Amino acid sequence: MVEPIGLPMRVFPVSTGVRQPQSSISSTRRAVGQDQQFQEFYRHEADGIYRALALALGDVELAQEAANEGMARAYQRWTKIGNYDSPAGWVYRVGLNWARSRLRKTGNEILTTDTGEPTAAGHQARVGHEVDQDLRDALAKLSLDARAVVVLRYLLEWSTIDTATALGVAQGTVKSRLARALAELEKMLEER
Amino acid sequence: MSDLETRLKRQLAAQSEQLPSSAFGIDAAVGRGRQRRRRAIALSSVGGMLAVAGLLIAGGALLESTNSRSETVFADQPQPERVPEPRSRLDPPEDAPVPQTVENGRPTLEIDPDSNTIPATQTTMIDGATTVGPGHGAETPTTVSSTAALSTTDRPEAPGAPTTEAATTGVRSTAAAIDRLPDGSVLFHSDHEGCADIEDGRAHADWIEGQAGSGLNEDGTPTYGFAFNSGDSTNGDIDWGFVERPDARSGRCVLSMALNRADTGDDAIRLFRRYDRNGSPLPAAAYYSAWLFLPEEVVFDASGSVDGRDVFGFWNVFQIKNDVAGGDDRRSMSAFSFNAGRLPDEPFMSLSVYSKVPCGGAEDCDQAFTIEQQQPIAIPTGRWVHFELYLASRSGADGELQVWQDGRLILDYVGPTERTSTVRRTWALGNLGLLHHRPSATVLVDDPLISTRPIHPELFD
Repeated sequence: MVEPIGLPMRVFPVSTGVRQPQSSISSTRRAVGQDQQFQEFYRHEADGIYRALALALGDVELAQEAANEGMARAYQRWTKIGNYDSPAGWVYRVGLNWARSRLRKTGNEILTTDTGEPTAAGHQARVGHEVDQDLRDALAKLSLDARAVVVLRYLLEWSTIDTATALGVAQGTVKSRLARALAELEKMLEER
Repeated sequence: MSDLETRLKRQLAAQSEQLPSSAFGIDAAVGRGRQRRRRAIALSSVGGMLAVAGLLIAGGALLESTNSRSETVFADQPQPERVPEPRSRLDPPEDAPVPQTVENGRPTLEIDPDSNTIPATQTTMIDGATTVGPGHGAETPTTVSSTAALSTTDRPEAPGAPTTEAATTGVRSTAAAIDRLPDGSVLFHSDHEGCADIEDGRAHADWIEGQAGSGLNEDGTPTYGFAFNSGDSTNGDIDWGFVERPDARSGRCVLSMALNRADTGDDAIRLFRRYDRNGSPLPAAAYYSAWLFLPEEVVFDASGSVDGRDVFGFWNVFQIKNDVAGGDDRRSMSAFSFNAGRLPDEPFMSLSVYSKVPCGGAEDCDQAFTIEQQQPIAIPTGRWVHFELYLASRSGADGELQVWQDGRLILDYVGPTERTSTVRRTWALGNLGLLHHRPSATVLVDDPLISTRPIHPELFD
């Protein structure tokens, strides 16, 4: 019996993939247009993505960095990402994966109920909204996967398909996770 | 909408409004993205020029005849695109900025270019710069940056120059790491003390701990861990065992694997671990850690011919393997090969990962790809270096593979990570290669450990 040893085979393709030179004028115009598109996208989506990440992760600073990381990567490859059906979903997913990696490495996968100290401005913005501590605590006890679905569906009000894209899962998975999350929340609230 | 859903919406809105504004603005994102874009384009241009030069030199005929589909994977892509890449790792050009000491308000550490180490006096967050190979294609290649929060104090000292009492007396061991990991999280470990000799049938107890039967792997029984060598140890082509070394990372003994022929691909040393200490297959998600000591640099040619077949040079030091569907206990396929060494035109050795996951169970695989660091971190010789892998083995796009070198995240891949449909995974420490400039290459290994929890190098001290 021979144990395959996994020798690399043909590791050096060089006959394809060389970037073709472009006209400098068209490149410049395209770049300006892309920058404007990205700025528009950022203005509409960045804050929501950051807030959704913050509530899902339970860590404001991590969410800020994660959102920024996702946006930086989107800007870097905006010619492609900008044509996606849901660039915001892509950014959210990149940010969430980046944050997961950080949490895993630091061994800090247990989320707290604290979403960060509210700023004075944050207090002023609370008009009309009272924090439901029971529900807040229950939300914090959900798994990250479940909480991410809940936040995308009920905070950002994304569709099932956009949520599925953002999380990299099937639509059916979004529905089942959401159903389970709601059931868990109900149970936790009843036990209080 | 149910009452709960209404309540949820109101609650989430309230919590959202409590959040402070993000400390980052569009300038931060654009600045970081632009910096990476410039670096990637510059690297791509240089890579492209090299590729063109390669085409000219080779006359094109050989290159066009290859059906190679090896690719570099952009680790941040939800759906990794596969763009053919040259393997050469290049120094970033002068106009490609490298990570600065402060990024987005968070200090990062600079590598000492002479020693390629982080000054031990600094303790802060370091930029883990997970980067994936320079590329050129229809799209601007991606440069991924991940940040790992790690302390750089108490870094392991180079053997031969211990600065702590523990280092001089051999107190350090896997016991320190095990004590610091949560109960039940350690799946396998060995400090290699006792200096057993596997070749004589006395496999090190830690590696075969608890397994049924006495054979290593030839009797067909499920084995917890085993050795599998190819080539001929009687004539010195390979030479290995658990040996006493004055520069052991801990205690007295280390696993020593010396490959003395790297010209045929027939000679290989590998030590496998397939089950945890309780006899359960290694889980789908786990951390794999080992200290490696590479006494000398290995340089290999990019490609060549052996016995009339075209081959490519490499130096493999560990692998993750998957069993082939069908249940043959001893038949496993390489999923991820972790390769060190360097090509002649590269400035230093660094780690890259070669994946055969897209090949399924096929041995003759032409869809493999390589995951590389865009700004490679050197693997130093003559001192112990800690490598840690996190593998979430999944067949879908949510699989993950991350690699840390001395606590620094150097590779981050998201995508399918299972080659076969079976659940069993094998971790292999090894020494095998091809087209090396010098016939001999040695790998010393100490304190291997598999855990369900992250394993920091600092845990061992």
